[in-house]
Amino acid sequence: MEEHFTIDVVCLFCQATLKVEEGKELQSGDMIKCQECGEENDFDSVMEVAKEKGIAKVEAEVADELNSKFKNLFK
Amino acid sequence: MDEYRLLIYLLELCEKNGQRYDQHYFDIDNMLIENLYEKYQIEPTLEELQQVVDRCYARSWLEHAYMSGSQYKGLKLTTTGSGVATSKRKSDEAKNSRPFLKKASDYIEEHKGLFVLLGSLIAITGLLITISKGGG
Repeated sequence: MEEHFTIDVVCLFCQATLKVEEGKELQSGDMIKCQECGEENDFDSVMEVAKEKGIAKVEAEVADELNSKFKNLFK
Repeated sequence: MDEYRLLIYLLELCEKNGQRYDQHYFDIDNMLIENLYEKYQIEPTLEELQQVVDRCYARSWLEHAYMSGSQYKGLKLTTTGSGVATSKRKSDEAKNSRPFLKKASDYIEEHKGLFVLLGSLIAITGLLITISKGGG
């Protein structure tokens, strides 16, 4: 199973990957402008969606890992 | 009516009732139309509102909280839908609280194509007047 997961932070409006200027640090309450559609994204909301995606990804990985282990156990 | 107004209305309803966005379920019905009229003074028809919901559903901004007989019943905001409502509300508030000069500057920036066209028209008119005066 992968030990590190990478989740793209995407625009809530158009699903494009959000990019931030190099060296710029974002914090709670900030807004991120999407380079594709121009919409402003609330930092906290974007992180909430990314967190949800991350949890789903880890859950799927764990389920796959368990499935393969149980299959080998009963062989 | 656009999607954002509906999403912001639903988010504010959750906040008013002290519920998380994924714990408040709603139906698309005449009661919702009346509530939207009270808030925004707009009165979409049921069909228009259903089309707005279809667009929100297609973008995963709304989802069904439970199975029901109708596709317009038992809906709730998704995490993305709640984020869209929060983002749009914040950017609208920031836009409305800009000082006059900033508003004017942003207006010019947003409509720069129009200003270039107007400038060109004035220049062409001036040129035509100069030519006609020179000819006379």
